[in-house]
Amino acid sequence: MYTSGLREPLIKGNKSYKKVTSDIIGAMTGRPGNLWYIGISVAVIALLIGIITMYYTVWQGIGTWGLNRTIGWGWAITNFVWWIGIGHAGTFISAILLLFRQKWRTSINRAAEAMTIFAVMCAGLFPLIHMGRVWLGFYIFPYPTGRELWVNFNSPLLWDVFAISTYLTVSLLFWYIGLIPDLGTLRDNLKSKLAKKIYGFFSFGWTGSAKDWVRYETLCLILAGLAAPLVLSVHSIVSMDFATSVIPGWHSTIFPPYFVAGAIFSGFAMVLTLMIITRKALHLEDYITKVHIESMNKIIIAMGSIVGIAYISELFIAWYSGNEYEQYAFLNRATGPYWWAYFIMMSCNVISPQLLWFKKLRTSFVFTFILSIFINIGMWFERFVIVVTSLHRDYLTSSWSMYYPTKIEVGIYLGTFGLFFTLFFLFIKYVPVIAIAEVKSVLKNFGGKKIEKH
Amino acid sequence: MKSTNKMKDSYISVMFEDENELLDSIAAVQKDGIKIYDVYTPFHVHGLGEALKIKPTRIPIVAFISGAIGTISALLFQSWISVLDWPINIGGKPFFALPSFIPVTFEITVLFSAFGMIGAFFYKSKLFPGNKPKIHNDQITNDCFLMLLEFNKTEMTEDKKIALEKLLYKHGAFDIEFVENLKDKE
Repeated sequence: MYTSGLREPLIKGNKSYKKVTSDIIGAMTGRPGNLWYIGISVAVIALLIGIITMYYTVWQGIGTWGLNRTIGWGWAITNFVWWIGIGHAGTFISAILLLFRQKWRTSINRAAEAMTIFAVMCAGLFPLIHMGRVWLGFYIFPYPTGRELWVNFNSPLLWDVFAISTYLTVSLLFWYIGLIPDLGTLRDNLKSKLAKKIYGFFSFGWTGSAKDWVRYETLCLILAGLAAPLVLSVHSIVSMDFATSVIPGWHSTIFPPYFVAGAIFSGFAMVLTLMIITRKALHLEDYITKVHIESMNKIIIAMGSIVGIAYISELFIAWYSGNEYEQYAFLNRATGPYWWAYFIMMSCNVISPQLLWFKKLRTSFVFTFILSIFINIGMWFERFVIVVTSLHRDYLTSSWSMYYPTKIEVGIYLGTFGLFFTLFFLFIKYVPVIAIAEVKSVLKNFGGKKIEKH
Repeated sequence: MKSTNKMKDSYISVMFEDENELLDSIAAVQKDGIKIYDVYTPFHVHGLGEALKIKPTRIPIVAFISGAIGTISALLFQSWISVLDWPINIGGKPFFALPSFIPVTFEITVLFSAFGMIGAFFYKSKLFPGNKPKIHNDQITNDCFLMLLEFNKTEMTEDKKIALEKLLYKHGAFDIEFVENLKDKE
């Protein structure tokens, strides 16, 4: 096999296979640090706030939110699109980077996929609560009803239902398939009898027989081939919720690719935020190295630049179209009452990722961590700008209005953070954060050294 | 498992620490005409399938067929609803609006294909919740590569045994064990 002495090794510390197993299992079984206990406590409190505010919303109705006749979509849809966007990195890493044979993905794909699943769960909550009568949520599925009516297959909102539920299911299956060999490893290497039983149950009796591996690899490859267009389709369809409307600022043909780039951009930022914390909290410095951070930052530059170009072409097309409503919508974004949101979006999403052209910054953990948070904020404001500023200047001047969120909306948003981080903290405690079997398979490919026999 | 475990057959379990030693030994053993029962590895070793001459899996065919079922049923279902069962006139737009059926059709295709493939994988590899592994060795999911050789007891003389052991040690095996019954390998 080709090995290069010039490249930095993907996994540091000249690990043996045994060491990989014991390191990653050790990170799970060791008593979690105070950081973990503080983290999960804060997350559970946020989740409780979320449950209370959701309950209040359902009990009182959507009137508890800051929405009005002009602005019918506010924080809920902003948060929905934001969470869905974050949910794009995981399957991008595990599917598209698998097809491109990017070996560095093996250290981060497990955590990124888990993050995807949790983010999509958070995202799904918003449209559901936004329906008002959540107990009638099943109306969105096409089933033979007593009302004799079907759903409208011409509506992008319905496509969304299919896209997001398929995405969640396929991501979950993909994640679990990847987990099976590692659950087998846990079953065989943990000491506690109960843990052996539980992981044994979920490992489905995996042994790692050659035939199983051949099937497994083929399965993963084809699943990746299917999941790759699926990732791209989900945010394209989300963008069509806006693009198929007749609102200036929404109905632009650039939306699908622009949203997909933005989604991968924000998703990678969130993966970086989480992985840099996890790396420190679980002492996985040898597994998540500068090589990984740099590779991800390169994707961030690419996606950030596409997002920047999309913003600029939107502005250009608005001017070039000669349509004064379109021109007003874009001028108003930058100079109207919500100019500050536009300013945050532009500076966080267009300017800040360009700093990554410097190798020093691109390989710095501290800088990457700070930048990733900036990008998360910027991408949230992008959705806020698209949703709210396009709506707040209606066709009739008499309908012009402003939108501010209420405490209840803030509480629900906080609650989804709570849900996300509670699940994530439980995940890093009970599931191997790094794909053990996959890391073993790339151990010898880089660094140009064969592991010495004793 | 029980059916293949005839009285006359016996197994040799051979352990390796490195996948290249395993691949070398597979070639050597095959040259000698000894049957390899199965090989267990902690991760997917590239070239192992080819070395053992495992037939390519038919999972891609399953993926295609289940995906095609998804495509056809999603298209037919949407068309039936929109054209026959309850056509809705929305501004005079066509009932059979093929372009707007594509997103849902695509999603259902992916969903069906994924379920079909994974179902086939679990079925063929006999994986299901709570299943007990048939070969139980704590090291094969950790850092060891296990090769199980199958031979006929009556044909295996002492001389042959020694020659085989020598060959395997030469190729890097660190543990060789003769097993009567696979269940004993607990």
